[in-house]
Amino acid sequence: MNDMVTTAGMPVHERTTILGVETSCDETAAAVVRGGRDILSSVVSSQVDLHARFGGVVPEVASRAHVALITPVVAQAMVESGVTDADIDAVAVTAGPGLVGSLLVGMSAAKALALAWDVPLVGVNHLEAHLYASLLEEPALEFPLLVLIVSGGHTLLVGFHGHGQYRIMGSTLDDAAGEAFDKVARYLGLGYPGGPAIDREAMAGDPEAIAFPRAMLDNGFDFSFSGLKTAVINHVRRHPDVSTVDVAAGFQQAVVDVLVHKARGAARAMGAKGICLSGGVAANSQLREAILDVCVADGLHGYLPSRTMCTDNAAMVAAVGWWRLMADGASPLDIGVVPGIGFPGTIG
Amino acid sequence: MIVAVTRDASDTQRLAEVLGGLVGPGDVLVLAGDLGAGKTALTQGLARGLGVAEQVTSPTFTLARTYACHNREGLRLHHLDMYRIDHLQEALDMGLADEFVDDDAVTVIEWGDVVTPAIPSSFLEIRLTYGEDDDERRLAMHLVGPAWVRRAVAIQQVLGPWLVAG
Repeated sequence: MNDMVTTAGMPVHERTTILGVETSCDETAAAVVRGGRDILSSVVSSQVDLHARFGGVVPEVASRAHVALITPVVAQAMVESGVTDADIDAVAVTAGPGLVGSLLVGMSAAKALALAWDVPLVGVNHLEAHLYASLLEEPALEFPLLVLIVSGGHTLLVGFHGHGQYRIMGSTLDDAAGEAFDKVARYLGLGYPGGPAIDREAMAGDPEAIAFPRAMLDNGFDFSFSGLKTAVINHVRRHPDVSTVDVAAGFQQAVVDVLVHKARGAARAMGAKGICLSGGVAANSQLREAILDVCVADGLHGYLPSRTMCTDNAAMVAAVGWWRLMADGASPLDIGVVPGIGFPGTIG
Repeated sequence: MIVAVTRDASDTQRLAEVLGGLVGPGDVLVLAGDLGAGKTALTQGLARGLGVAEQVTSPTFTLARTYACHNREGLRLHHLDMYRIDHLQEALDMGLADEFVDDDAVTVIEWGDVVTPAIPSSFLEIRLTYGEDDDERRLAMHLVGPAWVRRAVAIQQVLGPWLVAG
């Protein structure tokens, strides 16, 4: 893990322009960001009509998809940014956590570009990048902040005390919240992606109709959603004629209640000035509303990034790359990927 | 076929923890069964039996996670999940055979019944089904290949308290 950073920082400034590359999970993404803040372009493979270019067959998961997509996605990010190769001052790339084969595709591409353009390479942490996603849209954020990263792969409460200063407050002990949304949606026959499907369905249902369990785990800040998933399945098995909208509403209410309760408690415990959402589940309308309510009640700032900034993207990779370049300097060109890496720079 | 019944998720974990004592480098376990049947819980118990210190969480979205087994020097646990995999080729693309089945590791594959053509011919398949009440689970263990068949008696011995007639 030490190969993530070197010790000497590098001067960066508000004109320093960084190409970010992200391939840690399903999305192939590239973005050009200036000064750690100003998004010149941000291209994510799922948002682009690349099917035509690949004869209609784009593999959905795993590294072969990234291999097919990385070159056109980077090219499009460069074109949309309006800058030339010579304007790029550094290349930032996700080094982990993620799937080894997928990470390697982005890492290899980033190294090749850094070498060809003779600019520094900086390997970054995908989870740290999620923290910086909020800074891209809300430059005036005040530390300390409580960030709830909630997606298909992660459910994390992070105390964001300053640049490079993080404290993990809590995380899931089994399923991530987004995974629970997805699996319950598939079980109820609501289709994919499950998050938006449940969100839509729940609007027509009564969240009080079925009392699903809230796993509060002795009021610590860790989460467990596996039991809730099984409770939903057991309920539907016992009541095959149950109204799907009520199941969706009750399930969503249970997830949101737990997420909001824990985020609120963690924010209080760390003395946060605000709560910030990140990750795909941050697009959930009920979660956004409930977090804002808590922020109003507790006198906190509530930061709700746009959906494109919540989900995996490379703008956040370029943004954190700018900070990491300043703090730690460039990564060596023989840097490896670190599939199981934890949070960097954690305190306490 | 060896059949066991567990009372709830933590009982499934205890069974798997005991089973961990009979599992070693190069072994592959294929877990099958419906949503909520306890595949991740079983893996958590097995990990405990192998001395994994980290919290084992569901790899559905990440597809794979690797853990160090602290009570067996050099041994790792690969925890894979094929829930999102629709085609065998996707499993091969993610490195199923190249990265995640090796001589220094135990490999557990959730929703693994779709990928058996891509893994070694010897493996333990555990199929979990819902039991009579909400929490009870039935575990049907199918020993495939000589490496597992010769462990049949040992497995029956350590899992004695959970066994029922197949």
